[in-house]
Amino acid sequence: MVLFLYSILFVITVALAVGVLLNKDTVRSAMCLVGVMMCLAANYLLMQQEFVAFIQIVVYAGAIMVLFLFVIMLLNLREVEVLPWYLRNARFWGGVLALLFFFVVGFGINVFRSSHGIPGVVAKEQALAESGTPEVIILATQMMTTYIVPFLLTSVLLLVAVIGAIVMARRRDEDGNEIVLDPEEVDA
Amino acid sequence: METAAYVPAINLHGILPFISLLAGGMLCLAADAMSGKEGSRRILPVISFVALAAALVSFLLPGYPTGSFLENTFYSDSFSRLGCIVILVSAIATTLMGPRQVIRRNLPSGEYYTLIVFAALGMVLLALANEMLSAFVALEIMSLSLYVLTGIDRRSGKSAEASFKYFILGAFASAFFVFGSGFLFGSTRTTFLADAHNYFATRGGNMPEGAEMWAFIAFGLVFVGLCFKLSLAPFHMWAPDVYEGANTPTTLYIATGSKVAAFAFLIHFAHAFSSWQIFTAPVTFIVGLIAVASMTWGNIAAIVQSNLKRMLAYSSVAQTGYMMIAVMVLVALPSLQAAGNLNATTIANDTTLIYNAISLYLAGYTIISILAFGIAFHIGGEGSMAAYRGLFHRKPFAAVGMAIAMFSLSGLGFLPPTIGFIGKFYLFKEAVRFNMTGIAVIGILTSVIAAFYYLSLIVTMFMKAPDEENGIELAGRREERIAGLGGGDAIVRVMLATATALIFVLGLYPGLFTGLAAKAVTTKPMTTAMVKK
Amino acid sequence: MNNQAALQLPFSLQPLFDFVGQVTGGSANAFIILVAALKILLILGGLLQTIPFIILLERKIIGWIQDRPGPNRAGPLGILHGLLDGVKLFFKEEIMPKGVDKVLFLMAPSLVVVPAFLALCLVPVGPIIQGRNLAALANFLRLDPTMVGPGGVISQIPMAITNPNIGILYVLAITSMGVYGITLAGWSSNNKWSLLGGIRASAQMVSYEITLSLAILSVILLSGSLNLYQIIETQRGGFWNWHILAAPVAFILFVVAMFAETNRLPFDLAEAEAELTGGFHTEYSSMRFALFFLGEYVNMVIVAGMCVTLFLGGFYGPIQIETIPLTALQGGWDGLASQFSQIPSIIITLASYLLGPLVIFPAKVSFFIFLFIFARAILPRMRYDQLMSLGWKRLLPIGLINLVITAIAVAGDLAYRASLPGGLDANPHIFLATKLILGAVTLGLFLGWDALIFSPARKKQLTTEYRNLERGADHPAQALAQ
Repeated sequence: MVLFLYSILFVITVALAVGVLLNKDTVRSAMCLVGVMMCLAANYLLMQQEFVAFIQIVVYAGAIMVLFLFVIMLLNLREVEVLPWYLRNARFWGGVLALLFFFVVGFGINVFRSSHGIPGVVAKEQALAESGTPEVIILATQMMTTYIVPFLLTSVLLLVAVIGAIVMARRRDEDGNEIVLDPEEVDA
Repeated sequence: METAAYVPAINLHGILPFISLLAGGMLCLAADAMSGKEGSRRILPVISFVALAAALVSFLLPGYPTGSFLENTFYSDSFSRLGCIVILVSAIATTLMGPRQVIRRNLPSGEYYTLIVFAALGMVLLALANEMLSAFVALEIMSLSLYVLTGIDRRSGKSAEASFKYFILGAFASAFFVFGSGFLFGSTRTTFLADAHNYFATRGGNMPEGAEMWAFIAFGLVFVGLCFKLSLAPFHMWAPDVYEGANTPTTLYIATGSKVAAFAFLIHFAHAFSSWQIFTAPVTFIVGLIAVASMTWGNIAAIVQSNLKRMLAYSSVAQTGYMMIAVMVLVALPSLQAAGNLNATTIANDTTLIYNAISLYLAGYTIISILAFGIAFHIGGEGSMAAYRGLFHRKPFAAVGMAIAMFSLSGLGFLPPTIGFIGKFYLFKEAVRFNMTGIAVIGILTSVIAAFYYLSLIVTMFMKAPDEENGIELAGRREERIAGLGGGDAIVRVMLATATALIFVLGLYPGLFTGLAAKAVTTKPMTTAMVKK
Repeated sequence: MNNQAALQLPFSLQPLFDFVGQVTGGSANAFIILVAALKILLILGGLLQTIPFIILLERKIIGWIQDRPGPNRAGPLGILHGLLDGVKLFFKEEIMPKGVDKVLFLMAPSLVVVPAFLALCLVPVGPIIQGRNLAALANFLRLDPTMVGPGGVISQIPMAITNPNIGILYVLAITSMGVYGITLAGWSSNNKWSLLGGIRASAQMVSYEITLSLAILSVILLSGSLNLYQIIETQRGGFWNWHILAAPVAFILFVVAMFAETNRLPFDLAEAEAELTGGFHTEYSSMRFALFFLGEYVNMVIVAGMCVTLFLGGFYGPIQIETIPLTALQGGWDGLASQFSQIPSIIITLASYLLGPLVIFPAKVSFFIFLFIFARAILPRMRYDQLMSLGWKRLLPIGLINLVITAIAVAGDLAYRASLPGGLDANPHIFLATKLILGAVTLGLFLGWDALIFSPARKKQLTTEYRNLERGADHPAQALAQ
C-alpha cells in the first residue's frame, strides 16, 4: 500500500517538476513548483515525519512561493521570450537529464534499503523514537543538542542575508542620492 | 515534560576567534547605525581590523586547542589553524584597502566592513568544520557575504553582472554540496566527519549493497561544490568575470580567503573518506585529472587575457591546480602504504612533510596575491592593461613590486629564491618522491607556459612607453585626491612593502616557516583514525 | 452501569457496519470510516447550514448600525434571504471573460474553498469521548465493544474531524494555501483591477502570516504542545487558565492578523469595491463567485475557532460546568446517575458532552463573528502602505519581543518548578502565577510602549517624519497602488 502511494507520488512529482520546466507561463511554472513542494511534503508524511512535512508546506509552499508569485505578478511577466534554438534544445535535454537523474536516485534508493550499522546521530534518534517520544520532541532535542552549533550559526547566515538584501535593493546611497549606473563605465 | 539541562562542552579558547569575529561584525553594524557617513568611514575600519586581529592572535596563541572541539563539530589541526591564520591575514589586507576603496566608489561603509568580517567568520568556520551541516552553513555565510561584497558597487554594471553570475553559480554549487551531504548521511548515517571516518574504517570493506555507490556520489557532489569555490578547471567559469567585476579588495578576498577555507575543508572531508580502502585509487585519479585540467587550461587561457584581473583569475585557477597535486598525494598515501611502498612508521612523517609543502604553498600564494592585487588596487584602473603600460617610468616602486609578484607567481624567481618558487619546488618534490613524476612534469611544463604571460606583463611595465593620453590618473585616484586621503595610502604602502619582504624572507629561509609549522603541526595522517576526545 | 443497559437504540446499527466492512475490507476499517464520515457530516454540515445565517446576520447588523432595516422581505424577519441568495447565485449564468487563463481561472475558486474545508477538519468543537463514557455511548448505540470502546479499535473519539499531533502547524500550513486561490484569481482574470487585488492579497497574507505565527508560538510555548486538544487541556479548569490572560499581547496580534488573513475589513484591500470594483473576484459570477464567498466565511469561522481554541479555552466554559459533577460526586457519572435515577446516565453523559460543541464553543465563536461584522460596519479600509507598515514595522517587532519575553518566562518557570520538590507537575499554582504575571507584564509593556521608548519630543519628530513619508509620492507601496 505504502509502496503504491510512493509510486503515485513519484509520478505526480516528476510530472509537476517537468511542468515547472516546460511551462511557458511563469505563473503556471510557479504553481507546478508549489505542487512539487506539496508532493515532497506528502513524501515526508509517508515517512511519518509530520512536522517536517508541514514545515515544508508552511515555509516553501506558503511563504516562499507566494513571494515568487508576488514578484511575477508585480512584474507582470506575461510575454514569453523566444529562446534561441540551442536553448530550446537545452530545455528538452535538461528535462531528459533531470528525469534520468530522478530514476537513478529512485533506483539507488530501492537498492539501498538493506539495514546496516547506525553510528552516532541516528542511534541517538532511534533510541528516542523507541522510547515513544513524539517526533517533534526528537527533532527539537537533536536540534538543541547535536546540531546546536549549525542551528545557532544559521542566525548569522540570516543576518548576512538580510544585510545583503538591503545592500542590493537599496535605492538611495548614504547621501540620499539615487543610485544609478555609472555612464562612463556603460560606454566602456 | 521533563527537561534535562544540556550543557555542551565548550572550549572557550577554541571559540574565541568566532566570538571576536561575530562581535566585530555586530559592532560594525551598530557603530554604522550610530554614526554618520564620515564617522563610520573612520571608525569601522578600526573596529573590523581589531576584530580580525583579535581572531588572528587567538589562533596564534599557543593554547589553541588541537583535535575536536565544540561537540566534535570542529576539528583543529595545525593545517586548518594555518588556514585560519592565512584567511585572517587576507581579511586584514582587504580591510586595510577598505578606506580607499570606499572613497573611490562611494560604497556604503557599514555593510562593506560588516560583510568582510562576517565572511571571515564563515571562512574560519569552514576551515575548521568537521561536520557537514556546520560546514554548509559556514560555506553559505562566506558565500553570501562574498556575493554581496562583489556587487556592493551598485553604480558599476560590471560589478552587478559579476555578483549575479557568482550568486547563480554559487547557489548551484551549494546545492551540490548539500546533496552530497545528504548522500553522505544516507550512506554512513552521520553528518559528523569523524563518525564517517570511523564508519569507513570499520565497515568500509563490507558496506551494504548500494551504499558504496552512494558514498562515492556523496564525495563527488561535495567535491564538485568545493571545486567551484576553489575555481578548479571545469568549474572555473565564474572566476574571470567575478575577479574583473568585483572591486579589487574583494577580488583579493575571493582569490585567497575563500579558496584557503574551501581547501582546508576539502582536506578534512577527504580525510573522512581516506580510511576507506576502495576509495583512494579512483579519487586519486579524479583529483589528478582536475589538477591537470586546471593547470593547463588556467595557464593557457591566461595568455590571451587583456585585463590584469582576468589574467590573475586564470592564473589563480592554475595555482589552485598546483595545490591539488598535494591533495592527490595525500589521498594516494594509504594505497601506497597498502601496496607496501611505505611503512607505518614513516607515513606520519611523510604526511607532515606534505602538509608542510602545501602550507608553504598556500601561505606563499596568499602573500603574493596580496602583493599583486594590492598593487593593482594601488594603481587603480580596475585591471585594464593601459594602466600598466610603461608603469616603471611613472611609478617605479609599484612596477618593481608587481614584477616581483609576477616572478614569484610564475615560480621562476629562484635567484634570489622567492616563496613562490620554494612552494612549487616542495610540491613537485613531494609528488616525485611518491612516484607521481608525471603530474610533476605537467606542473613544470605548465609553469613554463605561465611564464609567458607573467613575463609579458613585466615587459609591458618596463619596456613600453607610458600611454600619455590614456589617463595616468585612472579611475578612483581622482576621488581619493579630492577626499584628501592621508593615512589610507600610507597603510597600503606599508602592507605592500611587508608582503614584498615576506616573499623574499620566506623564500630564502623556508625553514623558518616550515619549522614553525612542523612544531605546531599535529596533522591528521590520512589513514589513522582521528583522535577523539 | 445498570441504567446504561436500560436505554439502547431500538434497532441495531450492526448491518450498516457489516455492509461497509465488506466493501472496505474489514470491520475495523468500517468503524474508522463511519465514525469519520459521521463527524464530517455533523461538523461540515452544521457549519454549512449556519453560513447563510451568518451572512444574513451581517446584513442585519450593518443595517442596524447604519440605521436602516436591512433585508426583511423574504420570510419572517427576512430569514430566508440567505437561502434565496444561494439559489439566485446557483441559477445565474457562468461568465468566462475573454482572454482569461482558463485552467487557473477555473482552479482558483476551488483553491480557496478546499484549504478552508481542510483546515476546518481540525477545529476541536468538543471534548474527546473516551473511557467509560465511550463505553456508555457504544452500549447505547449497540456497537461492538471490541470495536468502539476502551481498549477497542476506536478507543477515543475527539469531537474534531481529525486530531494530529502537530495540529496547529497543520492549520497554519493549510490556511496559508488559501492565498493561492485569491492570487491566481487575480492573475488569471486578465483584468487590471483583479491583478492589483491578487498582488495585494499575496503581499498582505505573507506579511500577516508572520504575525499570526508569532502569536501562535507564544501559545505553543505556554502549553508545550502543538496538539490542539493538549492546548485546550492546558486551559482547563476555569477562565483564569485561559491563555488570553497569560498572552494578552499575542491575543491582540492574533486578532489583528486574523482580520488580515481572512481579507475582512479593515484589511479587505484585495476586494476593495470602491477602488478595485471587487478586486480579485471582479470577473467571477454565479457559483464560482459563491465559492469565494463561501471560502471567506468558512475562513472566518476557522480563524475564530482557532482563536477560541488557542486563547479562550476552546469548548470549556469559563467555569468548568461539565467537570463539576465529576469532582463533586466521587462516583463520577454513575454516582450522578444514581442521584437522578429516573434520568438514564447516557443522557447526562451526552448532555455534558454536547454542552461544549453546541453551546459554549458556538457562543465563543459567535463573539468573534460579531467582531468581524462590527469591524466591517465601523472601520474604514486601510491604505496599502499603512497595511504594510502596520504589519512589518509595528506588529512584527511587538510579536518578536513578546515571544522572547514569553520564552524567558516559561523557561524560568520550568527551571524553577523542576527544582522544587515534587517536580514540574506538583506546583501548578506557581505556573498559574507565572502566567498571570507574564500577562500583566507583556500587556503593560504593550500599552506603555510609546511612553517607555520615546520622549514626547522624539515622538513628535517621528510623527512628523511619518506624515512626510505618507505624503511622499515615491513611497514604494504607494507606487504599487497607482
